[in-house]
Amino acid sequence: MKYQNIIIAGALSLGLFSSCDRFLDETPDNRLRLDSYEKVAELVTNAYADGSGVFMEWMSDNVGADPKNMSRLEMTQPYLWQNVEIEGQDTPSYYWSSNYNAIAHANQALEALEQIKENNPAYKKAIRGEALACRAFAHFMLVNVFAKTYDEQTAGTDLGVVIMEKPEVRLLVNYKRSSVKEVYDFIEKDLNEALELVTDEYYKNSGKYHFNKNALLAFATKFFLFKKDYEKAEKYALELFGGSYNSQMIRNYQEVYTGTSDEVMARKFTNPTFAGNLLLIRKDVLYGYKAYAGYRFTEDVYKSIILSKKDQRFIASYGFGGATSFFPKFQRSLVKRTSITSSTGYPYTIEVALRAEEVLFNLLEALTMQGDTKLATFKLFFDKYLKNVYANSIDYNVLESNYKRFFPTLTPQELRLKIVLDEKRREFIEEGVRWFDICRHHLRVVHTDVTGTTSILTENDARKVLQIPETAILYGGLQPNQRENSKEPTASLVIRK
Amino acid sequence: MNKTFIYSFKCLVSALFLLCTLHPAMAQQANLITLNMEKATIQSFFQAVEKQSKYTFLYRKDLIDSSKRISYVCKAKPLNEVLSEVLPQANLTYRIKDLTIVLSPINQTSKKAKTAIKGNIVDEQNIPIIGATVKIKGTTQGAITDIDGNFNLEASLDDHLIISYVGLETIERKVGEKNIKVVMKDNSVSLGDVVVTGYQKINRKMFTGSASKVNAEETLLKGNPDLTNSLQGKVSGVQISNVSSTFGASPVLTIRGNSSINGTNKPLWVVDGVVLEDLTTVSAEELTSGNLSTLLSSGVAGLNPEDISSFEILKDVSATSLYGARAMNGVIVITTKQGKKDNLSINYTGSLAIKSKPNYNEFNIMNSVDEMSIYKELERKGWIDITTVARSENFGAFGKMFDEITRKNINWGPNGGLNEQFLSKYANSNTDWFNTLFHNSIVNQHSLSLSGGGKSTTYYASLSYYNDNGMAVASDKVDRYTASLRGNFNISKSLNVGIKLSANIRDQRVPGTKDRSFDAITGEFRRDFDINPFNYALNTSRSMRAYDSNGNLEFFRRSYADFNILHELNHNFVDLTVKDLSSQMDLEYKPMKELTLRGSFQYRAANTLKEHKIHEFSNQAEAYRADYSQPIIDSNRFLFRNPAMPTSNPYSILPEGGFYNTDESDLRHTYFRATADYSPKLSMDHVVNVFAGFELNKVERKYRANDGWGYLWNKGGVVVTHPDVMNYLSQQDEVYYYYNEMRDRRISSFINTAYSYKGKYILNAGFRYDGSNQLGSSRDARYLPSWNVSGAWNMHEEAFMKDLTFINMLKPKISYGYNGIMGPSTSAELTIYARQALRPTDKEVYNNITSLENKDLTWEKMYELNLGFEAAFFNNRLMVDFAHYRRKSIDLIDYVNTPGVGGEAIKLGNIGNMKSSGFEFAINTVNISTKDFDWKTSLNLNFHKSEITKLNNFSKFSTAISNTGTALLGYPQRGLFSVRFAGLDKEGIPTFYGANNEIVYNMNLQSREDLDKILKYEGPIEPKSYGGLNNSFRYKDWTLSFGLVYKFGSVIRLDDKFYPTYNDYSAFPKELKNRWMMPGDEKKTNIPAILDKRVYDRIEGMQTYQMYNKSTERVAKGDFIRLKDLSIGYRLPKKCLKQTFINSANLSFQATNLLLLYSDSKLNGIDPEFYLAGGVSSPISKMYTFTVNLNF
Repeated sequence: MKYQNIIIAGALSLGLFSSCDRFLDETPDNRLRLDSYEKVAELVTNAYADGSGVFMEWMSDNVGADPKNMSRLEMTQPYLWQNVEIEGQDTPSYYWSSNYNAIAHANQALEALEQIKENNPAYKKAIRGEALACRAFAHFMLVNVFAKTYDEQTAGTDLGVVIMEKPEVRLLVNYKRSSVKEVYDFIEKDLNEALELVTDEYYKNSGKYHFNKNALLAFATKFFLFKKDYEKAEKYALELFGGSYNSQMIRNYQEVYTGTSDEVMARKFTNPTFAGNLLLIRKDVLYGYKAYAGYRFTEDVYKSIILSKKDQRFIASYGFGGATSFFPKFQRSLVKRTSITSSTGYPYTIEVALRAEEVLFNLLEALTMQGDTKLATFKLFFDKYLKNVYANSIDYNVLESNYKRFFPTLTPQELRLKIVLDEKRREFIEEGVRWFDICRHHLRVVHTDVTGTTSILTENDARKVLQIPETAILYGGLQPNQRENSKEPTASLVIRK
Repeated sequence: MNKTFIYSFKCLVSALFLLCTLHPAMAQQANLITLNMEKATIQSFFQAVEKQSKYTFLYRKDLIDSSKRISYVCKAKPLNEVLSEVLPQANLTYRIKDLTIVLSPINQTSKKAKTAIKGNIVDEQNIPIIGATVKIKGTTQGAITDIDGNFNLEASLDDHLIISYVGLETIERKVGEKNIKVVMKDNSVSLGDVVVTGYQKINRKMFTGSASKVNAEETLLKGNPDLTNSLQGKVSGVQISNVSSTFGASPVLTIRGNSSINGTNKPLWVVDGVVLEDLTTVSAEELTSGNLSTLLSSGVAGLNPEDISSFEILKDVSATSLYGARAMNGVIVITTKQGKKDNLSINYTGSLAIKSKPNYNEFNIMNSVDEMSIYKELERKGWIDITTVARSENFGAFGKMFDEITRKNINWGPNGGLNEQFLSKYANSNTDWFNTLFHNSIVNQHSLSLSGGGKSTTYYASLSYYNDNGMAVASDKVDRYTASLRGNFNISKSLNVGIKLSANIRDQRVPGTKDRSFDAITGEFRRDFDINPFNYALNTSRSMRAYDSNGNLEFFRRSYADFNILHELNHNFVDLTVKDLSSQMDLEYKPMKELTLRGSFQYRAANTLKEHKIHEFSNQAEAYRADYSQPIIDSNRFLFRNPAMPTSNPYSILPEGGFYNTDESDLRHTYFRATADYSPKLSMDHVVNVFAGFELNKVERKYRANDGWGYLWNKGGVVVTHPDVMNYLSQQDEVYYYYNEMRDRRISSFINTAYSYKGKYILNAGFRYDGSNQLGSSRDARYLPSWNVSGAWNMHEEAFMKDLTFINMLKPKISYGYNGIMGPSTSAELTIYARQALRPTDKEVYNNITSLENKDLTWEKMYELNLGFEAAFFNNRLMVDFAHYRRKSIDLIDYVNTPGVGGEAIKLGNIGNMKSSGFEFAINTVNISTKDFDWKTSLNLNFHKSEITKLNNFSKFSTAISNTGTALLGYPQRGLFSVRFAGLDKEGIPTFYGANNEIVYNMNLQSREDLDKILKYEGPIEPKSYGGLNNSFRYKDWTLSFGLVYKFGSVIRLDDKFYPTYNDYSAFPKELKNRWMMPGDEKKTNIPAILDKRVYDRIEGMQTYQMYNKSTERVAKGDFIRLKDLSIGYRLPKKCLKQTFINSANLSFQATNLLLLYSDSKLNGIDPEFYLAGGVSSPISKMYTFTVNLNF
């Protein structure tokens, strides 16, 4: 009798033990488990980096210093091509981590996709396509910011970035940076597969916050252009435009830049329903797009690049009252408040990450680089664009002959390239696009700081490659970039007696 | 050894671990008698004893000499002692049979001559007891029984023998005959001698761990809302900081310091064997935040202090081992009162307390005349003028003048200057905000309890009511009701059932408050619409007035709208309701003598509702519609900028009405435990006990919040929500309602074995296995094994100690163990939460990875070595308890930088190690003990230090200089670091030393480099030493006691007070009078200047003044000595109550938090324990309590 009791008690507790694991499988809160394609698709929705590349604009020749403007360290340091120490929004290290965060979302989605048993192969393909596109895009941006621009000769040995193919599952992992070539190959593989898979069928709303078919074509053009595979760049650009100049996709600034306020214009500029806006991404920005902060498009820059008063792209530049100006390309009043009563919050904006005008310029560059054989197409496309932005006052021939007078030493191809890059600069002022052209085409940049001191970024300056974040070097053991002619800013804001 | 042999021995240990089963012989020991007789008859003595115990006297009438008068005084003395001291006065002796005391005359003829005495000692099963001690009372002679239980002694027949054996009841008997046979009974476990671990009751002699027991009656401060408060300075190893005195706010309590770097470090509370879950989860940091949630942080706020019988504080790993993970930071076990058999007793306790309001003498605040001179300087320096005032969010007297000029209600002064006539009334107002906002509050507490029992049942029932009408005017009051019912039913000899029901309801009103938010840009906390009266009184300009010259409320501006604090407190408050119900059932079943099976089941349901009622006339509602001038429309952030109407002015989305915002949390706790307690019979010398069990915890929490826009309080609650509210909210990524669930599952099994040899050497080993769902679905991380071994040596039992009669106890002990706890907010699995995309258009749901999978994640763990000894000397008049502990915490969770390529640049992981060590001394002495006068002293001294031995130094400057300290490698758990102040410059701007001692104005607060070179380590946030001293005196029926608490060795950062500029809204510290005013002052003062606007423009964007607030100038010592409590008690003499139905009556007067005997002068009187957090926090006030206790 006594022993029976013990046995019963024992058996009871054994039974309880065996169900332990099931009892503990309960989720602690409302977290999600990736158990449906829909949830995976929603994960990919977040595979777009929210870090802004605004610092690239501050490194470019599009900006100057205005003593009246508030210059924070995270702005001054890129302006002087120094290592940026700050880690918050608008900095390279934030850009680094947010792009890798996007990659982590894509990788997690790709992994989950294979584990879910759901009978909807078409949906699965579409999600996989978007995830691959996101992963490729983030790697592409990273390798272009934190590594040397692609050069077939040296890409195999140039230090690239870390390729992330799988989710990270351990606290600290040792990583190594791959070569630029390896990163490009990896991107190309993902991109090619994505081109097969991506479809617009499943996107909600406008689909512009996702890698839709057109956005992917735009990315492909950019990628192959950067890789100097001009034929492919041309191919995907033409595929996007439907073979000929597509005026539906090129913005009419006269129409965009009219409105009662810059916010209204900015909303038009970033309007997801406009066909030429291919990919929109929400970006966290702290001061980046604030008119009163940092290094901006100045009157001096304006004077040095403006060709004609009729240039529609400049009809809505605001200001110059304080010697700097800004464009209504970003909504600047968007804030996520910390609480409903709070006076503080996190400012953000919507960025047009890929737009048809860029594809057009990529096409023009690709055509240029292919030599005289593509001259006819080149002129056809360029002419239409120029007529649009200069309100029919300038066409390509006029432009070319003007340039010829100023740059008599350039070959016709070089001249064409220069015209393309200059026009592209005008089109993309304030958007950070110029920086990559400076790197890819080895351009010089001269910056004068608030004290009047001038510094020069030379054609092959090592500082064109940004330093990877301090924490990645210190704690991650990643090999730093060589920026030998960059001086460490020990304490630029420190006033010594 | 065959089975029968084993059976033939009496098992001792089973008794040690048994619950008290209360048979008469045991009750005798527990029966305490209090007497005060002066020349009384022996019969009246009998009556008194019969009244206080359940015994009756049986005697032959002719034995009693009625003319004999006896005098005797005792307090709470065991019955047998009383009897053996009183009866000889009447030439009587006694023996106890069941509930009868049989009296017989003392045999006068007995011989004093010594004879050889032979004896045999057996237990109730007639099994000889080996090794029992037989001692002749009053001498050092004695003997020890042999293997057959026999002993031989030389004694007179008149002598008394004391026979003792561990685990058995000590017997005192007269020799009487030459051949004696003694039957020893199982020792009952009476409260003083056992350690209640919550699951088990262990004889203190057999206990190897570190634990302190606190008797509730003696310790609890009457009228205090939180009983943890009372423990301050009373228990060694327990460090308590009373950060706020608001009802429900928990003090910060740590046992043996912090064992984790970022964890909560909160001890586990256990009430009657069941873990007490917090109403809501409140992190350690939140405790000092002043947020509403702090009012729910005290788990024990729902307990009626009168129901509590005792606290047991378990400190080392071997003591806490049964609780496994979660108990790493110590355990506080609360035992509530139980009824006694056949002893109906009704108890009433009522107390009335007066809390005194704070006043300006305690603080260092400038008067309004001096304030006005600062305003004028501000005006001179270009900070305040008519245009800035028009735009300013807040203004006081000076701003009001400009505003009135703008409105053309008054004119400029002569020559367009200031209107001095207008200003003078404010300069002279010198408003006493403490007087305006506070009154002395009255706290009422009443508790009625009934207890008793029948033959096989006992019960205890109580009701209590607590009411505090609040120190602050208007919105500050609490009502708490508790009810408790506890019954024990002996269904059969082997089956015992206990049932407990308890309920408490709390209704509390506090000033309206929002949770504070951290401003990442300035690195400061801010709280919008803070109307905490204490904060207001302390921070508001004294030149502002509550009432104007006509006695009407006077309004100034706050959040762009009219503001008067009294008006606001009446129209903006939070009603907090807590409903907490729990039922518990305990089963005890003894299928055989060696085995006890127990089961406990508890179900608790608690609901907390916070209703924030914001009246339409309140400033907080008016702020949403403040649009009376264009500058205000432009700057008022509460107005709605409709994107659809980009050109039109922002407009109000709360054109009428106020708010009704609710926030509710719901708790369901299911608890089950089954244990088996097995004590096999081995031999007399070898005692073994095995205790094993299984435990299951299931906690479900639900959180709901709802914001009601446009509620018309004044019109019967019509809801008039503006249609644009949704739009307004969605634009800011806000929602109007919220719901969330949290599920906590824990499962554990444990085994503990104890072995004792001859009752002298005790060995203990425990093992426990914990599982939790909090780390996620990863099965690798969810389990934690923990273990401990310990030993003790009852040295005083050794033969060689026999001669040292002044030693009553000497018990060295040692324990070593390993335990763990769940780290802060971590999950081993991939955590993904869904959100709504934050975009102006194209809204959709997306999933966000909050943290990546972390296969390396594990629990935070700790190794602890505990060395201790307990000793008692001179008839227990000097008792010493000493402990030394060394702890090594490993795998502590902290932030770690990763290369960022995994997608999470900053992760939480197990990367820290820390070691800590400390000493604890507790000394209790009875200095004087006479019939009429007693003096007792207890002192406890504690020393603690910690050092982080491994950590990824993550801190940036901005976090390293924070007021709450930071964790850095090589420093204590939290160290305070300061920027090194280098004096004021020629313009009165503070300067600092940089890394190479160069003088700088600014530093990159984001940097992590050279931290140790630039900053100065000031000291730890935790005190290095703390403790208390308590003295109690008794003279006849009067008692007096006082307690001191002290803390030494910690540092605190003074509040941020200095800025380049000020406004006319805030109060100023008196130090500002000594500020830099003109060149040359920098040699005389370290108080920085108010800057001219032009000078300011030069340093704008620099952190100069912010750094000054975090500099070496702004540090004070946290040391203090406080007279914590002083009480006087009077017990009404018996004879006064003779004619009434009252059994006993006690009156007492107690004063708490009376005086700060010592604190750093730099604090200027501010309580070093109090955190100025705003919200619902309030300082610790002086309290005077009058208590009546009646027993019927």
